Amino acid sequence: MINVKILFKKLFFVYKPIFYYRLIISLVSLLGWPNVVAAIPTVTILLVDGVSGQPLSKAVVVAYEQSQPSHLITTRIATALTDNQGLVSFQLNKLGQVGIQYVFEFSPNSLVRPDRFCQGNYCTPPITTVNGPLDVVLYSKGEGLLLNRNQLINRITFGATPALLKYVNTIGAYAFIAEQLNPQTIDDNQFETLINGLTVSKSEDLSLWLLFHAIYSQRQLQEVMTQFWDNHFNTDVVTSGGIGVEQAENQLFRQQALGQFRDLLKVSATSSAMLRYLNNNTNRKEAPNENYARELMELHTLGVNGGYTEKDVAEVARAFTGWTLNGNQFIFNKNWHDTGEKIILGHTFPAGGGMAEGEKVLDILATHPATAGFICTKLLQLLVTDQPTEKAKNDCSSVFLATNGDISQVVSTILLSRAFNNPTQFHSKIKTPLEFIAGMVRNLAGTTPYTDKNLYKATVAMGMSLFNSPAPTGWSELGEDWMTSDQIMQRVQLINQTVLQQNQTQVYVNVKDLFSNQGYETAEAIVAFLLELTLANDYSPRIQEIALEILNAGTPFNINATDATEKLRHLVITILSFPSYQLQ
Amino acid sequence: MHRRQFLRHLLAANLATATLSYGNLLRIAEAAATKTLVVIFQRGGCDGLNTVVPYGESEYYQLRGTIAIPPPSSSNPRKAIDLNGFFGLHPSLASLHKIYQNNHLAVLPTVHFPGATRSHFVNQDDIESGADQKLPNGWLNRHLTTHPQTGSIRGISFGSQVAHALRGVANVAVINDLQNIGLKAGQYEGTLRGYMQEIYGQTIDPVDSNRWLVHKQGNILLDNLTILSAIDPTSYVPANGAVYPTSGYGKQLRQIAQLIKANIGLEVVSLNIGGWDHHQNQGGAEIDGRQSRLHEQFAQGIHALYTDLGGLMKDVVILTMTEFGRTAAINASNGTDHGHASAWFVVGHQVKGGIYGTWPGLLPNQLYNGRFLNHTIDYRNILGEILTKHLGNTNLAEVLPGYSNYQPLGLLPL
Repeated sequence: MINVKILFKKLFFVYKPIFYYRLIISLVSLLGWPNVVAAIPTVTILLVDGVSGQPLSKAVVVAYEQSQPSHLITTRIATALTDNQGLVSFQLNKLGQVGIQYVFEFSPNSLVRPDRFCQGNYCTPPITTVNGPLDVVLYSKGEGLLLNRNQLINRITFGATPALLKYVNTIGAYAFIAEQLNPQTIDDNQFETLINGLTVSKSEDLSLWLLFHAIYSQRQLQEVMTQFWDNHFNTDVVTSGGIGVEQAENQLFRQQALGQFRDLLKVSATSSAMLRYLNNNTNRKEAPNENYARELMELHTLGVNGGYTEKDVAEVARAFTGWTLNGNQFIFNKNWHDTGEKIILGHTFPAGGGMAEGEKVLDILATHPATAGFICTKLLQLLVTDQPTEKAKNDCSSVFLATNGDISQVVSTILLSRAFNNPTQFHSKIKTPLEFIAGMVRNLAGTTPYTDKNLYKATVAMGMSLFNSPAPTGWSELGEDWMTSDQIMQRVQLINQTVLQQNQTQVYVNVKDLFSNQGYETAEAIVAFLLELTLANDYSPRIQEIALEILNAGTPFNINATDATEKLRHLVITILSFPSYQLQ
Repeated sequence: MHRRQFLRHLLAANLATATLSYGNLLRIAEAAATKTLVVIFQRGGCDGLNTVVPYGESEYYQLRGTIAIPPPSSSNPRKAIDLNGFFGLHPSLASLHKIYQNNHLAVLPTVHFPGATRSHFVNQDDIESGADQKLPNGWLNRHLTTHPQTGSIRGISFGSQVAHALRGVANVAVINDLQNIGLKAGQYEGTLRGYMQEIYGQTIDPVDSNRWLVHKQGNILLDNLTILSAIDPTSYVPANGAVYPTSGYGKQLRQIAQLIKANIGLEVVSLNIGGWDHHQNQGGAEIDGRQSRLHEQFAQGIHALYTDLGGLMKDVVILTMTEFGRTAAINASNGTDHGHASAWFVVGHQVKGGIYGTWPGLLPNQLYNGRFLNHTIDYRNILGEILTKHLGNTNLAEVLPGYSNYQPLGLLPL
């Protein structure tokens, strides 16, 4: 029996309390718990007042069953009252089946404790069960959704590893989010020793250096966000001054990855890579170069329809005259600066403002509503969906503006949002090449000798030469911009080349260890583990059948038989070539 | 029609045709004369004024300073190649001039559209949408859906990503390099293809859009593997002594020639040549200037394809485009910034060579916003003429929606 105990507890941050009327808990992420769920079709929910700790008796609880497609078919299966101990049980016969989820609604009277809620929609009561933590997030109207651990792993990391799966299932989603939002609390010594041992002298080294961060750092969300900012403030290694310059800039984005947006803007505005890439290093009063000024507004802050004019572009360019370089060092050259009065986005900049003018432009842009909307849209596209709703954008923007662009709070808002935890968003995004390549190595616990350049070559073949995006917009996050027939072919080729080759001086996967190290040795156990690890349990019955067909071909699978390794290789390349492996 | 209504109309139209062509498994023998359009997109905004040089206008030399291309009369060996006494080609475009002398090169120095922005990606998307705004699908893909044919591979987008012009419901192959076709699964190649065919073939709800897209692209891949792996680029010898540039762009053009000759029913193919965003040190006429080197490669590639295809060029049109031209004046970094009109070219045996469009002038009051070369040719007139006269698609209302001013320029007099 699963005992679901709901405690109301504040985590992260508190804003204005919001009144609510009902509570819905969707258990779709039990996909992540196949063993538990399949065996136990009954859920017992314990409602507890988070302040007094007293059980809530006589609360009305309604259970609904929802099934795909798109969870549109909702059937009310039972209505019951909590007993004197605050307990209520439901028989959930289809629990654990693919595409089935259960939703519970609580009567308004039972839980009218608006002060329990955190910012707007986002509060964080940990729910514990006899099998470990079960994480539900509550929303303003009393609605709630279960945090989906697979969704979290898919979106805030570069992919599951056998160890990470185990870890997240032990500590639960909330604890995992909290840890990842505070990267300095995560011990990453092993990774740091590895990365500090690498010599980066060629541009393929630089790509591998970044790939190693994505694959091996324990601070996975920090890496996801570092890549986001480096890409948002795109520069390329060819025009921006070389490998060292790009590497240094990437490190600065890493330090600020979950910090204030204004600080990230400053990193970019004064980075020698950006100053060269968009030519602000030659921007002087005699003939201003407006390349940086334009992209600063179009691509870094307000967005293309963000309400600035051609006149604003010219005026911002004047404000940044003299922001230039001495070698690779940012300097303000006052002799190049246009000291005249400027009017930017309706703000008057009196004559003689000096370097503070550029700073003031960054202040205005960093806190502009259009910037909040633009950054939120891109973050939602990174973390949630290619097509964020207006509501999701607005919710995110209001946090962005209220916190002056505190990225940690903005990201935590998104991770706890309805949009993120909505079951229809599970596996709704397509992996970028970087996500695919790093994810494959992580999933399969591959080894990656630094001398082997195959992973670098894969980034190029898939059209994502790291630090070398061909346009100032950076790489797209949208599936439609990546998913082509050629992309699938390149990805399948990489899987095959990696899994089928036995040379350990190249990227290498020991398929036998992958399973036996986790204690999986029978065909059924191996298949179940692989489908969770790589497809996040997103598979049709036929895929499971094919997997078993491969392992039992000829003679029934025996991990100690001489054909075991070949059968496992065949299994892995087949499962990873299927469509849902392209999704995250 | 309101924008929303218009978009809905467009989507509905495409879905309707999609069901016709999408499940189309007919692979009948190719009719002999498939018409093919090759679109080369110069990404980054090519500076048209240093491509087709208005050397006859003195204002040009006032504006251009150190990057001005000397007139044909100059004693400098690197100077404009005269076209008509007013315009000249950049000296690195000499191989295009050979096509001009054959009367197979249409030169369009002032192409753009009203309401264009100064943004790379917005303009690329607009132009590739075949409209003055971004549409969910591209003009070349809408051509395929509104003009059903039976070719095995009707559209190819060269590169790692699909060009927006080819995005849409009609199946389009994306090829980066023809030399690298297959799953590389060794002894499992056959069984893997079989299992993939089965699983990618499962029906997916289009509401789950990215999953649907993965299945669709997987099916295209599996369908095309057999056809494409039979075409071996390593043994291909270009005809008529054609020499392609050694770059990725050159290699792709060479493979395009091979695909056209393979008679697979190829109607539209797109490829890119990037790097035209010369804000800094653009260079002028000198041979090793940044723009010169790109021009050289660009022109050499077109000339190689034109030469290699020989007589087949009667059924092929090559169109070059870019998202905008650049500021009329040189900037402080010896480069140029984002502007408005630029130069496009159309090549083919059916093309009437010459120079098209009126010249708007470069005086301050003649420049768009006082800074940019104005356009006198709406790019949709070029697309419209190629669609109707070359590709045989008269359904311009669908392919170039919202454009009611179509007027052929006489590029394809047939």
